[in-house]
Amino acid sequence: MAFEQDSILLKGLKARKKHSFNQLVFKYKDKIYNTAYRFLADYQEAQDLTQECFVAVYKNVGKFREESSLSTWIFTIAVNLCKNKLKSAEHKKHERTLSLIEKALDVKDDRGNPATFMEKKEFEARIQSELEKLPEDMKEVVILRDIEQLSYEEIAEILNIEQGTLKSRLHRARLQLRHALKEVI
Amino acid sequence: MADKVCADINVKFPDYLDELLSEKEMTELELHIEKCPACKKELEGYNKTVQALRNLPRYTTHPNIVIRINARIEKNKKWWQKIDHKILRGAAGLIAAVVLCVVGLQFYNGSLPRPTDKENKAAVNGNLEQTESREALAGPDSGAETLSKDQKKADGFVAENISADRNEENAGRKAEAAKEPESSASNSQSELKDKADGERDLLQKAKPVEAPAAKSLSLAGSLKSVYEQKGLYCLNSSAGNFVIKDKNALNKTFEKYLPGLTLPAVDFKKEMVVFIFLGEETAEPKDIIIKEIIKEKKKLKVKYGVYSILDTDTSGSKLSPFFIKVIDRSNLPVEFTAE
Repeated sequence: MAFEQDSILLKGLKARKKHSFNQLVFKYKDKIYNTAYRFLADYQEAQDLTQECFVAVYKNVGKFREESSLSTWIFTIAVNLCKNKLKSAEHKKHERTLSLIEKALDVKDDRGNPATFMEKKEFEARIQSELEKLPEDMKEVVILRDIEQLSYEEIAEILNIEQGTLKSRLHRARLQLRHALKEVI
Repeated sequence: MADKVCADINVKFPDYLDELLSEKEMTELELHIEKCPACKKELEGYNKTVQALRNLPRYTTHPNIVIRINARIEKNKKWWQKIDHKILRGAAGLIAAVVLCVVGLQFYNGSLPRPTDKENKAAVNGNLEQTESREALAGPDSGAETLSKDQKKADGFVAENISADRNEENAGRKAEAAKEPESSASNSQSELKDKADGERDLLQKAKPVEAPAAKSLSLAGSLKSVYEQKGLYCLNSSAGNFVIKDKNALNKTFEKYLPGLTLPAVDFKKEMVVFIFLGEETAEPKDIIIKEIIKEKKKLKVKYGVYSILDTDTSGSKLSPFFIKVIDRSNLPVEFTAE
């Protein structure tokens, strides 16, 4: 699906054009959803947070001063929501839910090799588990840089930190993960 | 020493993977890796970790997420935000148009204040200068005229004393010319307040209608006016114009047609009162305005105009406009001309 440029979408969004807003949601929904999932490790909470993020975008677009790019601003909202969610008691009590996809995949897949599939799932679960163990400041840089593959400039803006700090934090996080995942990688 | 070199090399791994090292640094790192198996192993493991993270599966949101987000936005909206912007703009435009129409009509009918005396000053300056000397002579009347203005303020009624406005404008000049004692003014003020109270009952129903061009009228009039009173409701249901030259007749007329309206202080030795009644109006509400009073050799001409107004009274009362004007006494016959 081809999307319009962020500048055009932003203009439409500020003019409260539904079409622009829907396009913006389509453009960023999966990025935000995956980010939220890696932070929260829960599909349902990630869905809710994605919705919450776009509602906040719609509500606050008038206050957006365009000092950063639109995508950076959206990620900033998402990351802040994720951090708040992680701190909330509601999240801590929450029982992890499986995604519809995951539920569907729980049924034996005749088309592929179930053993390979299970291995992949286990590998991913292990990485996710180690990711969760990281301190929040390390986790966020790994998610944004290695999983979402944002640039250092973007991440520095989103997290409001210096690039030097970001790089050293990322290096320490990777080393910690490398050490934890030594057996499987 | 070797550990320090290895540590320095390890720090460069992120930039090495992102290809952000300079050519020199890159060569140094690669040379070291070839020689140092520990660093080589570390770099491989580091790289695999990063690749594993980069290759994590990506998920897609629920297919209905856009609908859900829009539903959530709608739910959070305040009631006025739910109204379509076009409808809102249309409604605002309509309200503005209605307000403008109402204000415009009221302005046309004269219920809204016309340009102030100061604003009119420049326009009427020439006329004022012509009438100045005559007005100056009318000093004793100025108290009553000022009163008339107070009375208007007091009950918010339309009763318009044109000369009062004019005199107020030239108060300084008149005061000098007339040198009227202050007591006279205060007496007539209290007198007029009483008058205003009395009039309030009768004129409660009267619409605040001012005749257009009323101010220029008094200036254009050939005879000086000392008292003017107009209204839209009185007890005279039939049309008729007449002149009263004695106090008893004036009392009777006021009692019969205008009970509650305070009698004007008329000096019948020098003055007389002109009455114009339009009678009870059933359709096409109208109001009166005296345009000009001209003293000719053999008669006195009272020219008046009748103009349509917007009747906004919903009480069901029928309009019966009247106009009363005190003018200089004359023995000449009076001719009323509707224009």
